[in-house]
Amino acid sequence: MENISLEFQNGVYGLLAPNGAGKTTLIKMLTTLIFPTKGQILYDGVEISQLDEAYRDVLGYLPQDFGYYRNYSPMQFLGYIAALKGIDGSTAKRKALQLLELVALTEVKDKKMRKFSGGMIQRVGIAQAMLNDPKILILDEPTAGLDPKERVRFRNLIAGLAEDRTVILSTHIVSDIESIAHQVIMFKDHTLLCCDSPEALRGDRFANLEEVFMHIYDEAGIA
Amino acid sequence: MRIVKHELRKIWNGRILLIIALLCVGFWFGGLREGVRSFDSLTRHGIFGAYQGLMFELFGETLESHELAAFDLPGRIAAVENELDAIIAKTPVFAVWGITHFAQYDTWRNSENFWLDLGATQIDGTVFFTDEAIETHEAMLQALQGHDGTLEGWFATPYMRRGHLLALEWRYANYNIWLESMIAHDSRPMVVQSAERILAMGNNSLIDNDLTRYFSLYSAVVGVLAVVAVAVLITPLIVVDRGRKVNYLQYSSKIGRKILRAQFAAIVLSAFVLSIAIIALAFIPFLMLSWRYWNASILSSCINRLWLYDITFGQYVVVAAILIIVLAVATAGAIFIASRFSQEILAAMFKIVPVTAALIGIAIVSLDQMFSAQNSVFTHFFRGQIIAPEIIVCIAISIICVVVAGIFAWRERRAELQ
Amino acid sequence: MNIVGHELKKILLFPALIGFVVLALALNIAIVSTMCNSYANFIANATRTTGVHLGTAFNEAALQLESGLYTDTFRLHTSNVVDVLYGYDTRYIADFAVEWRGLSGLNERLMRWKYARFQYAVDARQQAGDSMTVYFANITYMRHQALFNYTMGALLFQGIILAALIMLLSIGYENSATTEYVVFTTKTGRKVNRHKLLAGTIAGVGVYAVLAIVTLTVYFAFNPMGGTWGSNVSSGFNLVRDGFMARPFVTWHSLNVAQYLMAFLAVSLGIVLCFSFMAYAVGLWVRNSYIGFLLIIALNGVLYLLPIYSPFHMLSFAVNQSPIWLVLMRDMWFTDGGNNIILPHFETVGVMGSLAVLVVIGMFSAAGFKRRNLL
Repeated sequence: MENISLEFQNGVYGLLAPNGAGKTTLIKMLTTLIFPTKGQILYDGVEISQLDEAYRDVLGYLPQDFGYYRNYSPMQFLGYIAALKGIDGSTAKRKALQLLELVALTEVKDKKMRKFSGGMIQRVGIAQAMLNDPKILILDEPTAGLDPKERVRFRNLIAGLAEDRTVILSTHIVSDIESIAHQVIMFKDHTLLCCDSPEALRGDRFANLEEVFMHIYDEAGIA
Repeated sequence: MRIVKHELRKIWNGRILLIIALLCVGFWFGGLREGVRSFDSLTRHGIFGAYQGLMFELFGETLESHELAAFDLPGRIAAVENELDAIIAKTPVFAVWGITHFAQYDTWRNSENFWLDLGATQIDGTVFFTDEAIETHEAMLQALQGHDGTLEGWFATPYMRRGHLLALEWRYANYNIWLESMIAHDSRPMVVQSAERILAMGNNSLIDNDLTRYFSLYSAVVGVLAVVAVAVLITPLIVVDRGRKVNYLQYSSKIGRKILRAQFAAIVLSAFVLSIAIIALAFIPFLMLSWRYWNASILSSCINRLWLYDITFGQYVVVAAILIIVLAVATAGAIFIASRFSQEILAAMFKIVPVTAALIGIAIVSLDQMFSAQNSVFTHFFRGQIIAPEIIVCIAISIICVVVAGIFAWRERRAELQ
Repeated sequence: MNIVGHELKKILLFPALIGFVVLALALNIAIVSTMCNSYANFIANATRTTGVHLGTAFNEAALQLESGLYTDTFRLHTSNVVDVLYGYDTRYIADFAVEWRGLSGLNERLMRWKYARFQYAVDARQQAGDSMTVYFANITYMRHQALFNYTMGALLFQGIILAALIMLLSIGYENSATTEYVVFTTKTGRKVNRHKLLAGTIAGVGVYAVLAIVTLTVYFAFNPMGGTWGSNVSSGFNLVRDGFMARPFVTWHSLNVAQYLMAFLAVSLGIVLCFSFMAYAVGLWVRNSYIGFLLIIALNGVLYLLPIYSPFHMLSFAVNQSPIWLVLMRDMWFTDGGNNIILPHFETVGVMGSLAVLVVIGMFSAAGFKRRNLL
């Protein structure tokens, strides 16, 4: 990725770009999984690699291919992730129960995850990302595997979470971010194309974000 | 058949072949090379020196009694003793002790007084050597065994040649007595039966004394290499497919669950081909040295190691090769079963490592000293009760592994994927 | 539960590990149950009466033993025993080692220095009467080998394989479960590997301990040691063979059988730890556990071949103290170590040195992993 300068405030940021444009690369840099060869990523003015665990303490991340332990129940899995997030045992248990209720998995909280549907696994993934009540929540393709009803429910959940934190949401599904994103970020050729509100992007010319998307990438010969 | 070809292409990938090539190089430098060199050395530096090889050159694969007489062991011994007499005559240290000829020295050297005569002391039954006694003894030995510092030179000295000739003479005088003793005392029925048969027919084989023993150990190492190489080669195939959920695509395609049968066929075929390649590569250097014994009986002249069956060395090599292939196929079957029940490579390794270790153990105990009374399977597991249990064990294990793997491949049509 | 507890739980509840341990135990029990020797059992029992120190009192006590199948054999082999360490000169072993290996200069001086120091140990064993203890009389070598070479050897091989696999399991678990991105972006982040190292080490050592306890319990049930526990392993009946010559088994320090077993277990545990650390370093560099395991085998293969083909004696002497060589030379632990070894106490020095080297390599690997892009 080259020549990218972005600043995030509280609110939902939608990352929108075709495959291979660099969404996941940017997310991996923001989550310290890979490191930029040039440039800096700052949190409150400090380089995130310097902040190290202090930065990751405010980070919640749901990766695109969310892996889980097949023989664990959601409670056991969240218990493990809570330990990694430095949350003490009793708080972890309370928080896990609370989050599992939020993602409607209370009834299966002690069942092994090997028999869960894709949507249920994805909801466990959202719960683990929220365990530490993160200031930055990064969700990579979070609605993959969710049915339409779950997607609506998820959108509402994200909208509610974004009030006092930064939510960065990467997706192929334009409608997922149209109604909840405060800002939409688009890439082209590994460079930043635009970062603006959905309203500003639509302007008077387009009826919805999907048309904006098609127009921009059709022009670029990508879509 | 096209699918088997595709599976074979997945198995025989460059990275794994490179690992197997490195494995072969490691085994060559770690043991096989030394096996070839040791045997080569023993053809001249064994207990019979170069005499057994000479007899083989003169008389061929068997030694008849008139040929033994023509070889004239007593005459040859007398000739080297004459050489030793000449050495003693011109070496002053012998004259100091009044030794004029070798027979006199030999009698004195083997007497209880030898060290005491040289100045050693004895307290409470323990002999304490003095530096003088040791120096005198070494001076005598140096005169008798003086050589150019090489093994060849040492074995060519008359003193050593006399030892080789005496060993040969002792062997031909005592072999039948040893067989009779085994018949009288050994508790293993098959050993007794073999000893009786060999005694009745007479063991006239002129095969190199160390050949079969060294080849059996060599083939055991080749067997271990084949088992490990097959395990390395085929382990990833099924596990990787299952780990990446490629089996979902396979099972839902036209061929369906029959893919597992194709994979099983590819695995067995790969094991077969790889083991043949390893055998060919590994056996060639050894057989280049021992080819001339191909038609000689494995019943060597060695006393204390009884080879049980009158087969030729060539037949022995073929049986060893077949057993290695059989064990390679058994490995393929066992790993197929272990892989079938593993979703990812880590879980598979915890099953494949002990399975491979067990097959390595079976290869060693079956192939090392195969067809001798010292073979572990024959003596320790079956107490010498049945004929050739090494073959039975290898084939039985292979059949069990392949049949069980086949059953799993067949039953896969009812397996549910979750 | 803390992170180490979670990591331990993941390892110990891994079904294939449990299967492996059960199989290993079954094999060990099968092996040790075939090692019974009724004469050895007789000696174990008889030495409760006779004691272990050979001499007049021993002979008199032996005469009081109830007559039986082995009594005469036992009396025959334990009377008029010559002290093999009396006048035993280690210079001859040094000469042989120097000549056989063609040593010169510093290598020769070090070899001779080792054997000069070893002479003090020999004299001390002789003066303390260690060599005049009975152990298992004329079948000592066979029984010593049965316990310390074969049984402990089987345990050691199982221990190192399991330690390596367990550590690869611990380090590679997230890659295998595709949970790396979740786990490494938590507050603990890549430091989770420290917890995995600790958990893998505890599990590796724990599994070895379980294998050892069960196997040895069965071994001693079938092969009771009786009075021989107090016998010295430097008994004149004991031998050490290093392929070139058989000679009296003499340890640097005075160790009875029980102490020797404890020391042996301690060194074994050290070697198990070495393989754990080796797997940790490899596991951090190679994310594919299968390739990682093959790499560990290859690495040890190279270490095995290096002393055989190296033209540099000093390099050979150093590598001969690597974990794989220590495993192969287990029947010489606590003795002089023969011509492959140049330092006294090679097993202790080897284990400590290997651990130190592996800890440093592990730290470098961890530092490298910290800045690695996880694609």
